[in-house]
Amino acid sequence: MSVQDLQELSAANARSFPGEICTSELAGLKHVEIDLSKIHFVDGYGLGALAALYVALNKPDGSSPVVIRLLHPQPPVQQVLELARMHHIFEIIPRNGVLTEGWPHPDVANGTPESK
Amino acid sequence: MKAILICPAAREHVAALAESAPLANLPVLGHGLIEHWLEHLALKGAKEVCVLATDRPEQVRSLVGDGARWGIRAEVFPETRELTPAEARAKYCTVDSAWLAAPDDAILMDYLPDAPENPLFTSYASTFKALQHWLPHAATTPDRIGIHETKPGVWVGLRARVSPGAELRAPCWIGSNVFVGEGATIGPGAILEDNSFVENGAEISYAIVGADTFVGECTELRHSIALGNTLVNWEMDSMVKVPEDFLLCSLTRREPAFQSIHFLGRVVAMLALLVTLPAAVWPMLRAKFYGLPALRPRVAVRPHAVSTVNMPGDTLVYHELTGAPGWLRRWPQLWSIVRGDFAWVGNRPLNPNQAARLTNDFERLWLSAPLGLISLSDAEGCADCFKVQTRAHASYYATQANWRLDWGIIARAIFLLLSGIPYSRRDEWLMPHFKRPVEFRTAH
Repeated sequence: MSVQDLQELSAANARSFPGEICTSELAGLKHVEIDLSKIHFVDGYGLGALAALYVALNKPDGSSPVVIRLLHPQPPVQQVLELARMHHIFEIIPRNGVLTEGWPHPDVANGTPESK
Repeated sequence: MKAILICPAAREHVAALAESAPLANLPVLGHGLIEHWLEHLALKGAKEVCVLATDRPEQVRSLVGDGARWGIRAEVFPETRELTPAEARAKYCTVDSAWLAAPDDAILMDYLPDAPENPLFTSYASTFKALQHWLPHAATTPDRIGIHETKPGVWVGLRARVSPGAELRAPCWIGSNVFVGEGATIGPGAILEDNSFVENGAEISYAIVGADTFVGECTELRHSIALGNTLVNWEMDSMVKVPEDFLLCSLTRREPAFQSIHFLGRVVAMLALLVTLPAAVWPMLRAKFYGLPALRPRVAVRPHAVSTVNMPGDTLVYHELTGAPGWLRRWPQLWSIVRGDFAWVGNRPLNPNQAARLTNDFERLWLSAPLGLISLSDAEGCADCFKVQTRAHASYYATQANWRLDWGIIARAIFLLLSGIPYSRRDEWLMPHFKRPVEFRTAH
């Protein structure tokens, strides 16, 4: 599932954001990609919304994990995500296409997809 | 023996470093940059030092004093622009006085003493590299008291408290009066300036934590420079204002960008809030009935004076009444006035996306005025944020704001509320009411 055209992730829409995504069909979902390229900054509400989304999509027993990728965050957004250690639970695909841990994104690399 | 110290003026590439104080006062491993240089010159034999300051010379003067701390006589001279060493020599080096041998006679402080190969202010990465390079030297200066090397490459300052469970990895520098919480990992490549506070579980590597900075629990600082709530990534050359104090904030009181609203104004706002509460109850109940929050949060870019660095993240949250008509929607902002976030009259708040669409310096004046419940644009009936006229009103207000204009705006807003027509177009309302009797008399 891919979430595009997200204009902001802050107090203004943080409450509704996880619910809007989870209304879609979730059975068999393996990956969720959220395009952050149009967001200029994210605050604590936005971080909370991302965390709520992670909790909503991933069961406590660890079965059927859903990988959430945050695509192309602007540098100020990436800074806040890394400060709050969000890069440990989300895959952050920076604008140069390389995962923060140094793994190339499957869509960028010419070869078999890497797995962590 | 005399010498000249030239303080660096504004440096565009490292603007965040000069946000709260001039670059000459930048804390570098426990002392200000200029303090390192004064000590260096004193050791070289200088007895009189002439300090040339372009940026905030009064702050430089307050740090330098008269130079007695270093056994020298120091005087700060304001300059209109940053002089080069050659220009400073030509202007100040008189033949009848003894000067230190060149190049120590006139020094531009854009590097640390004895480290000209590591410029400080060409980029944030160069700043970090210069400090890392100078780290071993900083601990061995003669006036350094209390700093001790607990293990090779790890320096800890006076009255620093490092929890037993914290891990210190060389090379790292812990300044004076620093607190490091349980489970925190400091280093490698970490510098914690004086009076910083690192909560439990934080990880700091290849980063500088500025003086009086709070680093929140379980946060991670890598390749960064943290100065209060300003976070610079020196690797990406990016900077952001972290809006959440529990992640990163300054431990010193934030200076307000504008004069705070008068106490009487806050009292009136509180009374207005209570008096108009019955009008706000119905929209709140209706919102609750439809399963919506009664108060809808909105994010606004915090206004700032023109001279400060503009960076993303400097925001505040305010609220609107969900589903309320017209100006009643702004009812919760009366509480923002009580808190001091808003004024009665100012420019309306802009969210970060709207602020990013202000295209030139004239339009960006919008952000250099306090946030207000009522704006000049409101009084003129221009509700749309992106009309040219709205932006012009906002910029005009930012440059002309005074108490007469504020009262005029309030009066016009009341006129608009009662008549439905902006005051500037009142003739359109008055003419139909007075024209017909004149025509009647003329006809007869």
